[in-house]
This record gives sequence, C-alpha cells and structure tokens, in this order.
Amino acid sequence: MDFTTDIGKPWRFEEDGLTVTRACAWSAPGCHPTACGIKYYTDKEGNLVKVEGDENNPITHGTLCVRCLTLKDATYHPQRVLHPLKRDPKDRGKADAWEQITWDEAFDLIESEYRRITEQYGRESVIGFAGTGRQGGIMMPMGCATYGTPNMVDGLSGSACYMPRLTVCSYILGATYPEIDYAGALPGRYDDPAYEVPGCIICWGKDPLPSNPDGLWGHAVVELMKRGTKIITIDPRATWLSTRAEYALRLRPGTDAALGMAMVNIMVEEDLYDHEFVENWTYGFEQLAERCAEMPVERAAKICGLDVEDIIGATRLYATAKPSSIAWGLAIDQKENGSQAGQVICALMALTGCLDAPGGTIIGGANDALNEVGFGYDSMPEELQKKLIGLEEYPVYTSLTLYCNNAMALEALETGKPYPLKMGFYMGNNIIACNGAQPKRWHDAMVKSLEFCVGFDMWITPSVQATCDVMLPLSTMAEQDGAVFTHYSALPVIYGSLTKSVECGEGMSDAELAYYLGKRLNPETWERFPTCMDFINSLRFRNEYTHDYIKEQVYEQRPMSYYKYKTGKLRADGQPGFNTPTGRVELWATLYAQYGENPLPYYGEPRMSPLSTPELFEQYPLVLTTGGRHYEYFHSEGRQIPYLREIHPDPTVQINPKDAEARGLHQGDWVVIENMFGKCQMRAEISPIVRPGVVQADHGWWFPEEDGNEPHLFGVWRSNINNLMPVQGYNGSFGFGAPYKCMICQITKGEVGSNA
Amino acid sequence: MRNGLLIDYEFCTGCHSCEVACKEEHGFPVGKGGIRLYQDGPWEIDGKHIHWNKVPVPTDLCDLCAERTARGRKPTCMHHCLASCITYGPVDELSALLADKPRQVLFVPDAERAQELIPLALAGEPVTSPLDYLDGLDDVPVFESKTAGNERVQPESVEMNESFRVAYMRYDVNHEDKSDQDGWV
Repeated sequence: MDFTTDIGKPWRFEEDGLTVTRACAWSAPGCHPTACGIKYYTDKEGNLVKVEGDENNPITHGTLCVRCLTLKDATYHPQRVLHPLKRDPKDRGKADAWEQITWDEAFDLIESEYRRITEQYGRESVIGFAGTGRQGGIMMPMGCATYGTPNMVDGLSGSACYMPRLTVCSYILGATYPEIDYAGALPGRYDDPAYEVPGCIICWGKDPLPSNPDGLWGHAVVELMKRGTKIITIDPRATWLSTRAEYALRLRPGTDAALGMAMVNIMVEEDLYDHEFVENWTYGFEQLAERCAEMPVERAAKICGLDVEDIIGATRLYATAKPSSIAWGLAIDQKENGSQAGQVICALMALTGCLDAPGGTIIGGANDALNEVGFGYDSMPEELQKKLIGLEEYPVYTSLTLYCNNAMALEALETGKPYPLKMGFYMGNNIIACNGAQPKRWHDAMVKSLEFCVGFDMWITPSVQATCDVMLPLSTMAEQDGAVFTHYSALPVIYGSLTKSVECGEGMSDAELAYYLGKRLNPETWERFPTCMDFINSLRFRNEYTHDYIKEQVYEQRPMSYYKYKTGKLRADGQPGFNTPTGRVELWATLYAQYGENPLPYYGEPRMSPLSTPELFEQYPLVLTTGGRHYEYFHSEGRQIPYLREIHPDPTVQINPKDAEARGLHQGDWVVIENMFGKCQMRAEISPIVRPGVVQADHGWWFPEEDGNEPHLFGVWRSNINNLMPVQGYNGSFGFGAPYKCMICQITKGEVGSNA
Repeated sequence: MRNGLLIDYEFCTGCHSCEVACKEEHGFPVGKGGIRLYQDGPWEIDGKHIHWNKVPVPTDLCDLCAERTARGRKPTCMHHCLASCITYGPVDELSALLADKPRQVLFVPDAERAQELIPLALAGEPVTSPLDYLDGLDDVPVFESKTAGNERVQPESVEMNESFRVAYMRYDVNHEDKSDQDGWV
C-alpha cells in the first residue's frame, strides 16, 4: 500500500493552516543526540500545535520516541519556567520565594555577584555543574569562556560516565568514540555499496534500544537484526534484546574484565584473530596474549557466573561472523575495574581486523572532535588553567576530561581546600536528584559554600530549589536556532539544524546564554563573534557550514571513510596509523605505563562484593546494579509529563522471584534498599530479568508533584538510589570509575519514613 | 474493504511510541488510548532462555486514524513505530503477509464503532464526588419491618396454604404445625 508522505518537502511549508518546519531534535529536553528528524506544526502565533517525525531523516525516517512525541506537553507544562526568576539567598529552599525579573535584571545581578565574588576569591572560585545530553552540559564553553573558570564538575563519582571509556579508547585506539557501524553517514544506508551488514554485534554493558547512548539510534540494531545480524548481549540483566540474541551472557556485575580477557585468550588459542591487522597495526600483542592466558575460560566462567560453552560459543561467533562490532556502554565506566574492562574490549574490537572497516567498529578521524565541556579552556590564562581542581593529583582524569576531579571538588565545597568555591552555575545538571553520589553531601556543601548560584533549565528541579538564587528559563529545541550532531560530533554521521519555530516564554538556548552572558562577564573572549549565530557557526559547524545553509538542508550526512588508519586520516600529521604514541593500536598501553598504571588488562573484584567483603556481604547480600534505562525518561527528566509518567509511575527495583520470596515480597510492594552509605525506597518488580542475588534499581527519581520546599525538595531523598553510592574510596584507575553498577545492598519490605 | 494493523511482534521492542503518538493525535487523557502495549514476560523458559514478547493491541477506540488515512497518510502508530513493526492496510493484503514469517498478528479494529466511542472518551470530567447523584433526595424513608428483628409476628390471621407451608415453612420451628409432618411430599 502506498502512502502520502512529506518526503522531498522543503524545510518549511504550509499545510491546513499550519506552518510545518522540518528540523532535527535535541536539547531541551535532553537526550544523547542522534539528530532525529522532527516536524513542528505551529500556528500563526507561534504556538506548537503538534509534533511528528520527519520521514526525510536518513536515520530515523519518520519515527520518533515518546519524549519528542510529548514535546508539546513539556513546552506548555504549568510547572515550566518561562521567565527569569530571583530569590534572596537566605530564602534558598523556599518554593514560593521566587520572584519574576527581567533578563536585564538577571544579568545585572549575575554580573554584580560574579564581580564581587571573583574579585575576592578569584575566578577559580566559580564552579559549573555539568550534565549530559544537554547542549549546555558538555558541549558549551559555558564554564571556561563565559564564566572564565577552569572548574566544572559532573557530580559523578569517578566521572563514571563515558569519561573512563574516553580515556581508554584515546590511549588504546587514538580515537574518542568507537561505535558500531550502522551506515549512518552513507547515502545508501544499509544498501550503500560501501557498506557490509555486520554478521555479529556485541552489546556490552549497553541496552541501546531505550538508551540510545551517545547518539547511537538504538533501533538501528533492530534494523540490522532484520537484515541478518546476530546479537550477543553482555549484561547482568535480561533485556528484550537479550531474548533475541544468540548469546546472552548474564555476568555478575563488575566482572567484565575477566570475561574480556577470557575472550581474548580464546581468540588467541583458537587462532581466530586477524594476523595481518595484528602484525601491522597493533603493539604489544604477545604481551596481551600472555596476560590473557592468565584468565582461561574456566576461571572466567567461575568469576562471572557463566557457562564455559557460552563464553566459547559467543567468542567464536564474534570472531568468525565478520564483519563484527562491539557497542560498549555505560556499564564499562560504572565499576572500579572499568579502565581494564574497556582496555580489553578495545583489544577485542581490534583483533578481528574489523576496526574502522565496513560493518565493523568504526572510529572518528583527526578532524572529528568530541566538543568537551572544556571548550574554551585555552582562552584562559595559563595560571588559571593550572588551578583546575585535581590537575596535579589526577592528571589523566583532569587533562583529558577537563572536569575537576569529582571528589576533590566536593571536598573543596565542604572544606574550602585547596581554595573556596563561592559561586555556582548549572549546565544541564540535576546533581542531587540524578548523578551525585552521596547527594546529601553535595546538597549540604553547595548550600553552605556557594554564596550565589545560577540555575538554568526548563524546570525548578530539586537541585535548583535547594541551591540557586537566580533561575534562568531554557528554550526547548523548537524555540532556538542551533545545531546538533550525531554522537556529539565524535563520529561523523549527521549535522542537523535546530530551527526556531515556536514562541513560548522568554527562554534562551544554552548557546545564547553562553554568548550573551559571556559578553557581559568576559567580553574579551567573545568579541570575535559579532553575533550569536557567528558563535554557533564557529563552535558547531566549524565555519564549514552556516546555520542558514543547514537549516534549509535540515540535515547533512557528513563525509566519512573507512580504513582511515591506512589513508592517514586518523592522525593530525597525516601519516598512516593510529593516533597513539606508537601509531598502532596499543594492546600494551604505553600511556598507562607512563602514568604508573598496569599497561595490560587485569581483573580485580569490586571492592564491595561477595568475594571482597564476605562479612559485609552477609549484612548486604545482594549485588546492586543501578540506572537501567527507560524509553519514557531521560535521566531525571520527564517525571512531570503525564503521558510519560503514566508508563512508569513509580521508582522500581527489579528483584528475582527467589530473592523476593525469601523476603516475603509481592509484586509492587514498597521496599527499602539499604547499604552502609544510605537507603531509599522503591517498588519491587519481581522478575527473572535479574538472576538470583542481583538487583537493579532505577535512578534519577524526584516527584515534581510533591512539595518543593526544603527539606522535602520534591521527595528527592526518598527514592534516590545514589544515597547508597560512595563519592570516593571506590574509584578505579586514574581516579575514574565508580561502582554505580556493582555495589552491595539489602532489601526489606517497608518504607523509609516520612522525613524523606 | 476492511483495514487492519499487521504487527510483527518478533520485533516490537516496547518503546511505547505507538501508544503516545495515538494519545497525542487524538488528545486522549491519561488512562485511555487507541492502542495499548502489552507484554508477555519476562518469564523463564529454562535457566538460560527468557520469554519476552511485547505486542501493541489496538483498543476499541482505534479508528485506524480515519482522518489521516483519508489524506493518504499512515496511521500515527505506524508512522512513529521505532521498530517499524506496524503495517496498516487492507485486510486481504495484510493477511497474505502473515504467511511470510512467524510471530505476526493481524488486528482488525472496529474503526467505525471507534468513531462513536472516541467522543465519549474525550468528553466529560468525572463527578467530583462519587455520591453526587444523591443530592436532593431527602424524603427516602429508612427501612423498617415488624418481622426484621428478634421479635416475630405470627401471621395468625393468614390462612396457611398447605403447599406453601410444605415448601417454605416446613422447618420453621416457631410455626405451630397443625398438619402431618412426615417427610417428603
């Protein structure tokens, strides 16, 4: 049956009295950007009447997730902040003490406080709280170039989100973002002559369908399955995807490095690796093989809780059903042993010879960049750059991410050492609700130390309510002109246009705030951009394109090529090879050695585990993993959107029927999850989705419908799984990684009590 | 010709886009919709194999997006499905496709009836108090009966029909039985 579509329509057209604008979707609301195609239907007043998916988009071809489908509901939500607000710092935490002001008043207030505080304490006393999935969070020079401070922190213990993997693949592969090849940049997509459908994809610590991490459109995996790709999932949980996989390796949380080493060992022993690639393009193969021989499959099977035949079968499939690729996910970062797990996974990406090959694991070239939060770092004087908290103690951590070491930033807020932090600003972060381990510590330290703090979002979140004195309204994706790129630009797929179509409130976009506030606070840095759009064109499109052009194209597939290590496109000097010290894939990591770390992978138990802490484990006899993703929520977003909340109304913890029965639990019971750091309550979802002895809990919960005043703060303490997570003492190599996905806990029926 | 929705539930990933797109298209409130995602699972087939199927099922409010299809457009669930597992079309065309692969199901909503039900689903707020309908009734007597309590009034003046007595009062110990009591009649 044929259908009428909008394929071939211009970027803006009229239909039935409405204006239809084709654009790409991103921020706000947030997500990891694919640059999904979206159509905004607006009336003459600029009201958003409805939203649909744009059939023209080469990746999403008209489909759209529930978070974009409900954009209208977010845009016009009664709780949405539409105007700048201010509140006396002594009224922090009082929900009704906000008063509306103009942008001029807001800028005057921010500037006067900024001048006062930086004159007394230095610019380094200003700290940004950086989130993810939002333009302001990690893609803006807000910190360095607007506020002129070297200090930004993500609030995650061990920066345990992408940063650990970023370091691993930078050092091992010389690239910032390896990803499965889904033909995103190829005009013919899966049928393009340059492409080869993968025989096998491993989803390792990654549940791509609901999470679409770092811009991988997860359902591309389904499209490849329909074309014959076989799937291996490596995940403690069962997922829908694992039920369609050839092998679902449901390993004990935290044991990934052991599994990876065993898989390398099998590939070596059974001679399943690509000799040509190994000989010509890798460094340290013999040493890697020798190290991984210390983890024979029988030992890994015992450590991981897997069957020997499954590990062997999965390895053989991955090694032979070429081209094959690995999608590595957040779980790699959220363990202490993550730098080693990541290292051995990079080795597995390389050993097949499918690195940067059609249908294999592809990487970005020398000209593809991951725009870091530290954009604009070089615009600061060197003595200020050196003040980045943790630069000396954690050189790898800070110099690669340009974030403060997380624990040291918290300590600076708590103690004033190495120097006091006195002003704060939010960049797409909801630290006490979403990512901060031991969130009460963050809350108390920020409230105590920050004399002035600026919030910037669509909503008054618990973090803003507790800590801020000015609240600035944030534009949605439809209310701004801007840019989006798949994978934060680290791998070339699409450049897309954010196209202003809707008039609502007085919000600014992250780019606009960075620019206009930057011109007030740091005019010298911003002089070179006559207009905000000049800044966007320079930052986003690197002046290769203009927004005017991309707006009319809506999206542009970016040039990409395979085998860049042969053509010299990986290295700035144009030489063939990888962008590593040796020019090869470093199976023996020279940079690890240089920083005093073991250059080869090894397995180490999580510091809190049935084997490491048997006495504690008697008290807390369940292994806890957290943060399983849902289609309806992006981190702490979405709880106030009725159609989204309807899908998943309560925070849940998944527990196996055997463990539930032993505790007298029934489906839907409120239960208390507790360990030595704290506790919270969630509803029990009793299911074999987790194996006995393992539980999985939601993250990011707060309750926008509840009382926002202190101390209740929208119920942010009641179901916050991060109450159970330590800020420090449980990090991995280089200070990276934290056990968000491999802690221990106990679960009992009950609730935490009314003070929460 | 009747139209339907062919669902390939081997690949329905449970993303809820069909549900939410339908609600947005029609303006259904929370709790109502034209298509609902059901899931069967996860449950264990054995220690290694988990059963987990998700299936979107059109409800009685599914009018097969009559307004959209009249313009030649796809129903909004099909348009927005992330897994592309929903196909709209004439029943005879779609039923031929059932033979192509397993794990498919063809739903044939009563789209005409839905057009009557949809306005009902969209209209009207619920009553604020469940007992609002009692307002204004102040002349309703409370139940009373002479025979209701422990005191019983003997129907002395009532002629006892023998057939009635045998059927209904045979075991009434208070009744003075003036007749023969010899068992089954």
